[in-house]
Amino acid sequence: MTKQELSTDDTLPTRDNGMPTIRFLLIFSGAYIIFHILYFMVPNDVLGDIVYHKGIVSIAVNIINYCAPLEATQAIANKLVSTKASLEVVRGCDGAGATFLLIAAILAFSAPWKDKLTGVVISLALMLIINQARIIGLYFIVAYKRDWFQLVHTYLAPTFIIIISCLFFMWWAVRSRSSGVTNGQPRSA
Amino acid sequence: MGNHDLLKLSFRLLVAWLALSLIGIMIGEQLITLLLPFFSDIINAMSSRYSHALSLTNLNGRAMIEITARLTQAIRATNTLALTPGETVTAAIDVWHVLVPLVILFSLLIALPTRRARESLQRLLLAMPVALIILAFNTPALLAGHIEMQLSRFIQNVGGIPNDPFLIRWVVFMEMGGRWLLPIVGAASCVMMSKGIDNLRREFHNIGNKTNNTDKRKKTRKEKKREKKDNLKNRMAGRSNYQ
Repeated sequence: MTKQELSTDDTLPTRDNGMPTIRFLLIFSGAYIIFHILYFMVPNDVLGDIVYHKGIVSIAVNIINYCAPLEATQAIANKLVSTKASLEVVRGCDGAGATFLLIAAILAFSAPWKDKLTGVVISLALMLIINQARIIGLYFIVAYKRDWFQLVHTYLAPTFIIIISCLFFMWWAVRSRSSGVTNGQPRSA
Repeated sequence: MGNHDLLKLSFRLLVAWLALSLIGIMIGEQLITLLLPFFSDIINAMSSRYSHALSLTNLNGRAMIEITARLTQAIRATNTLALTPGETVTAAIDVWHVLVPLVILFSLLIALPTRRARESLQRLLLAMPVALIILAFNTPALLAGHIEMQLSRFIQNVGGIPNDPFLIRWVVFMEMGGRWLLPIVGAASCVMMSKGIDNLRREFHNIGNKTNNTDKRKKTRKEKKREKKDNLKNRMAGRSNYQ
């Protein structure tokens, strides 16, 4: 082998026709669109009065009142209310978009169903925690730094949540691949 | 990829996000000002019911893109009521909102590992048209969608039945998570296209190598023939000397 041939083979990436990536992207986008359609089949009343009240606002109120009792926040339907601020949780503020993206990516990735199930469960828990932290953070921003609300609500928080979701997906995907290799399971790419 | 590589990747992604978010805060408005004619052209292509003007305004300390639409044709609300041509409708969206897909796209592309600096540059160059495509699907539709929503609201308020244009559904899709989906798909596409370009380059390189090798073989054969001839000549010359 000549010197020139050696350098070319060593530095250039291995051949990849991109089909696995295209397949992943198609399933990922398709799954997300299906989740989006299903989500919009849930009536607003069910989301506002039950899911947001019990699943998001009440929990946030309990955490805020435990950590900062002077805030004396209350959960009124889908609103987090105190004397200093009022925050309404509406469709889209529930972290559903980011959760759907993460679950769609996990489902689209080529991995055993056991790994996928674990990934979905962990990602649901992760997204619930992150969104709860976001809601509580936004409450304090509205109460004490109202000027920052738009910046955090429309710019920093969404991008940060997506970046965290991407990181979680990468960790999960690498773990899933390496566990498959150690178990000697064949994987389609 | 081991734990160390994953940690490095995570760190790079967080730093890229932080840096790009700060850049967006510092020069976001100037960037959007440059893009306004591009958005305007797309809105023109989307709706023939109104002419419009886009501007960057400050609303209670918030930088906003404002669209002022002037109706060019009557829009019937009920049998007796209609919006007449010339009436104006305004709507506005936050500048931060427009920057979200760009921050996600470039954070991912900067953080994802590459073998060489040239590959990173290749990806970033590919990301420029991809970013424009993502913005084209997002911002103009959002602005035009807000105008459509106001028109629908007006029709509903006066007792008419508004039709449900696809644009409003698209806006809802984008607002929910579509504007995050597009940059993720865009980043993956840039990586894939970059790999495709590398593969092509590799194939061209291999063809080049084969041609070089063939030339070498021809040269050796010629040389061998020449050597044989020379040897023969030398022998003949030696014999004649001997004789």
